Formats: sequence, structure tokens, C-alpha cells
Amino acid sequence: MWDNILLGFQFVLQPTNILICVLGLFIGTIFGGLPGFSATMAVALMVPFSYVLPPATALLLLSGVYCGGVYGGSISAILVGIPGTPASAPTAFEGKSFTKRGESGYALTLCTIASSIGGFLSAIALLVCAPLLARIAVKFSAPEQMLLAVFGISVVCLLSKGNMLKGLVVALIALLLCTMGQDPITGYPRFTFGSQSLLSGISIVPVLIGLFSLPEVFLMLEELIRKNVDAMLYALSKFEVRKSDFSSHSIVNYIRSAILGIVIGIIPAAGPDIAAFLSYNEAKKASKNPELFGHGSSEGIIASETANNAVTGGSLIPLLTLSIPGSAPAALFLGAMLIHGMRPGPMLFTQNAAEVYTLISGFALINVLLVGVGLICCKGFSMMLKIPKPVLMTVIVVLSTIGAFAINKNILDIYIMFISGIIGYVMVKFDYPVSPVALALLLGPTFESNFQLSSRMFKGDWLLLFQRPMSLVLIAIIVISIATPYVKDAMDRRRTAKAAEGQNNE
Amino acid sequence: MGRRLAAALFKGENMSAKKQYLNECVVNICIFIVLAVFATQAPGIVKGAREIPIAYIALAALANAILLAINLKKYRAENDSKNSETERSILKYVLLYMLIIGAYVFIMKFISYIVSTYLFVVGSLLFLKIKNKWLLIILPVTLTMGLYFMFTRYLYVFPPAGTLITIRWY
Repeated sequence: MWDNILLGFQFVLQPTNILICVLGLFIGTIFGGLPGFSATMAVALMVPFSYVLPPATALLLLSGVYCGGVYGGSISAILVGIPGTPASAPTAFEGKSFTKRGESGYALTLCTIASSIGGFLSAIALLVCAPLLARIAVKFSAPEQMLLAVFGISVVCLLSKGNMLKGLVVALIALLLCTMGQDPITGYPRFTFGSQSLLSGISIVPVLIGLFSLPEVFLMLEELIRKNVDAMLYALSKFEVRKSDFSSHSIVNYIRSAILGIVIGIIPAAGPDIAAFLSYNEAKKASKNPELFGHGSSEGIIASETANNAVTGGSLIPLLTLSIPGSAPAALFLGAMLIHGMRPGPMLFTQNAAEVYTLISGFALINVLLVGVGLICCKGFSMMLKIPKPVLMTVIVVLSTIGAFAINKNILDIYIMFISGIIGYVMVKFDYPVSPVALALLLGPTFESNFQLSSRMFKGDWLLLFQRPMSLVLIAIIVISIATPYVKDAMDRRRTAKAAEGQNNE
Repeated sequence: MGRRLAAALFKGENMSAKKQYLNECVVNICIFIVLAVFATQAPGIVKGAREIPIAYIALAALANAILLAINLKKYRAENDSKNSETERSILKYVLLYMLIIGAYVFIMKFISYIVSTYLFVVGSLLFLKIKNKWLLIILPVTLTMGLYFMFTRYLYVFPPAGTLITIRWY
């Protein structure tokens, strides 16, 4: 194996291949940074270009685009509070506060380093534990996928802490919206209101674009009216990292988030967005300063960025070892590999060892290069901060509109984006949390289809769920996840009461 | 995030608490109407496909009812005070801008992406009080055409060509 790894690195370190990696990263980052454009779209666009390249080089180009695409979404999330991709939504919660405080350079550096670490660790996982993790992933059938979705949805409790009822209402309505269109198992139409266009349901990305971009535009307009325009301009601060970002607590955060990202990546249909939300939630639970979350917490950025980039390598593990793509870009990788005569599966590591080990070594190198390329792109994107707000607002509306249309090439998606934008604005005005909506929209379809499949599998006898070891582990994780914040709160209250009692006695 | 943005939004000229709670109650009633619309459709869905949506509707209605009760209680407890004039004029501006975006989005199908986007960019810049003539000329053309060519040439996404005014270059 080591010979193959060395061979892989020899090939990757050729100047042409390094250039291809850098080019892929640039393209991916630009695509990821623009709202409405996704890593999937960038990879799909590059697949035809990869035909003319040798197989290993083609995979390097696609890997660069994929990693850049996932990372790029966080740049606009930090600079203007609009996530380029849904996976950067948790980063947007924190990043905008940093930018407002004049620390955008710090937030961008931290996000770039966290992305690089997440991606690099996922490359190591791809190299070392691919076969083992793939064996565990095979045991994830419908009941486990359903429980994983429940675990994700349980995050709503923490994301809406202090505003639980409102969070619950919006999450349930978002889950209800997910049921529009054909039933995932029986295929019967539901809530289509007689419209053929609604048969395929509501597309999630336009809703998320509307929810995250238009309210920002309306808030910018309000600020414009309240203050003068000059006061609205933020400058890009110095790129810097702080000692605290590499303390033992932060290192644990990086590792925990990377592991979560890799595991989520391995599980089919669970993408970087879910990983980002879950690890953000876990970081908040483990944090010594959870009150900082939502107001510019570096731990939040580390967790979300490490996890969403760790998904990139994780999603390639089942693809390479079992021929099961863990995400949409991984499915495009599968297509590209087939075109180049490679057949993913257990034999791939022997029949196409050179290409596979080049891909894996390339993945590690790409994530190292990401730091340099990312910071250069951040400099370019930071021009956004210097653009006068009226121009920026207009451009955001046009980009959101065309971005929403580009997903399915359907005019209805533009209307959905607009209506979601207005609803998002009303939610902001009335203090309804937006993040549970994103989470519920992303996990609703997975939960419902797997719930129905499990129900058929168990023939109504749900006690069978407790006879599955993997399900039991997941149930325990869900219970711990929901109970931890409450137990922690109760313990804190008791500690404060004891301290107060002690002071009174003195 | 909602709390943070809302806090920023109401900084300075706060809406009166009584008015805020009244508006919250209106939002709760709107949510009930939306849920009722979905609930009326539910009986038409075949058995096996309707249980989960009905559960969502029931749970959402329950949570919303509790929220409404809390808001009504708070509304009754608050004293009335006048709403800020600035707040009202800001809201007017935002609603007007929403209308401009709405018009842009809904007429795109009829007058094509190119014409509607060009008109929207010009209209938006004028509405937002941009006076630089060069910006008013260059930005609408470059943004509209740049995106159009990028999408049609490289991404194979063809924006609406219009049913009343048809413009396409592909």
C-alpha cells in the first residue's frame, strides 16, 4: 500500500497536476461563493472538461472543484451573511457578527484553516479506514437512516433554545412543506393544489436561497434608511489566527467535527449541510461559552467548516469501495470514473491502484493548497465589502433569482424563492429562528421515506427497532443529544444556587 | 440568528410592545390559516400517504395555539404606546422594494430574463438613490448580459425568453 501511496504522491506532485489542483480549487471556490451555485453544479460543469484529461488528472480536477465548492460557500456567508451553499448556513450565523465587528479577516482565515483541516483529515480517513468504514455504512438501512434524520431534527431543540415554541412551529411547517408532491413510497400526490409543477414537490435550494438572501437585502435597506451609506461599509481586516484557535479545547473541536463530517459523508444522502449543522450543535453543547454562539463564536466556525469539508473525503469512501455515492458530487465522480474505464468497488484498489492512490494523495494535497488558494479568493471576494450597499443589494437579488432558476430550470422556483424571502423577512421581524427551517427542509424527506420503509419492514412492530445494535446506538445518541443541554442547565443552576447559598452563609 | 437580526432591526426606534404582541398574534392566526389550508386537503390523500402530514399539521397547530395563548396574555398585560413614525416609513420603503422585486420576478416569464433584469437593475439602483450616471448605464448592461452569457454558454441554463417580448441568443 505504501508503494502505491508514494507513487500517487509522485504523480500528484508533477507541476501540471499541481496546476490542475489549483485551477480546480479556484473554479470550485468561485462557484461555492456565489449564492445559488453549488459544489454539485461546479463538479457537473467540469465533468465534460475532464474527458480530455488522463483519468488520474481528471479526478484531481474534479476533487479540486469539489473541495473548493464546499469551502467557497463560507466566504459569502462571512462577508455578507449569505451562505453560498446550504452547508455554510451555520458559518453565516457567526461570520456576519465577525464582519460587523471588523474582524472579517480573522473569520475568513479561521474558516479556511478549519476547512483545510477537515478536508485533510477526511483524506487521511479515505486512505486509512475506507474499507472498515464502508463495512459499517452497509449496516445503515432504513431504520438507521430514519434515526439519523431524527438525530438531525433534534438539533432544532438547541438551535431554538430560548425560543423553543417558535422553533418548533417553523420546523413542523417546514417538515409539512417537505411532504408536498408525490409520496416517497406510494407515489400518490399530496398538497399539489391541482398544479402539475408541484407534483415533484418543493425544491429545497430555492427556499433556502430566499430565506437567507432576501431578508438580508431588506435588512440592508432598513439600515440604509436609518444610517448614512458610508457607515455601512466594512473593511476587510488583517488575515490572522489566534492562539486560542489551537488550544486543546479547539483541537478537540476540530477532531470531533472532522469525525462527524467523515461519518456523515459515508452515509448515503446525508451531505455537508447536515454535517455542518450537527457538528455546530455538538460544538455549542461542548462549549465553555455557548452564549457566544450566534454572536461571533470562533468555535462555531471551526465546527461547521471542519465538518462540511470533512464530508468531501467521507462521501468518496463508499463510492470507491462499494460503488455507492455518498453525495451528489460523489455520484458525478462515479460517472466520470466510469467514463474513464474505472469501475469503483472492492477491486478498484488493485485494478486501478495508480489512479485511486493518485486521487487519495491528491485529495490530501488539495486540502493543503486550499489555505493559499482560499485566502487569495477571500481577498478577491472581499471586494464585496467595498461595493456600495445599493449595488450589492441589487446584485444579490439578481443572482438569487437566476440561481434559484438554474437548479431545475423552472420558473416556479423563482416564485418560491421570492415567497420564501418574504416569509424569511417576517420570521426575522417576529423573532422566529430561521435555522430550524433549513434543517427540517434538508432532513424531512429522508425522515419520511425511511420512516415509511421501516414501518413496512417491521410490519408495524416498532419494538423490532430495539433489536438492531446500530439502531440502539443511534437511539442512545439521540437521547443524550436532547438531554445534555437540559442536564447541563440544571447542573449550572444547582451550582449557581449552591454558590449563592455559600455566599449567604458567609 | 432570528433574535440577533431582530435585535439589530429594532435598535433605536422600537415598535411598542403591545403592538408587537398584537402583530405576533396576527402571525399566529396566519399560521393557523396556512395549516387549515393544508388540513382541508388532507382527507383527499390516500391512506398510507397522509398520516405523517396530518401528524405534522396537528403538532404545528398545537404548538401554534400555545404560542398564540402566550402572546395574547402578554398583549393584555402591556400598556399601549404610540408606534414610531420612522418605523412606519421604513416599513413602507421595504414593502415598496418587495413590490419591485415581486414585479421583476413575476414579469420575467412574459418579457424575458434580459428585459426584466435590465429594468429591475435600473429601477432598483434609482430606488436606492444611486446617482452615478456611469454606474446606472454600465451595471445593468454588464450584469444582465454577463450572467446571461455565462449561464447559456457555459452552464447550459437558458433563462426565460419571454412570451410577450421574446429575446434569446442561443
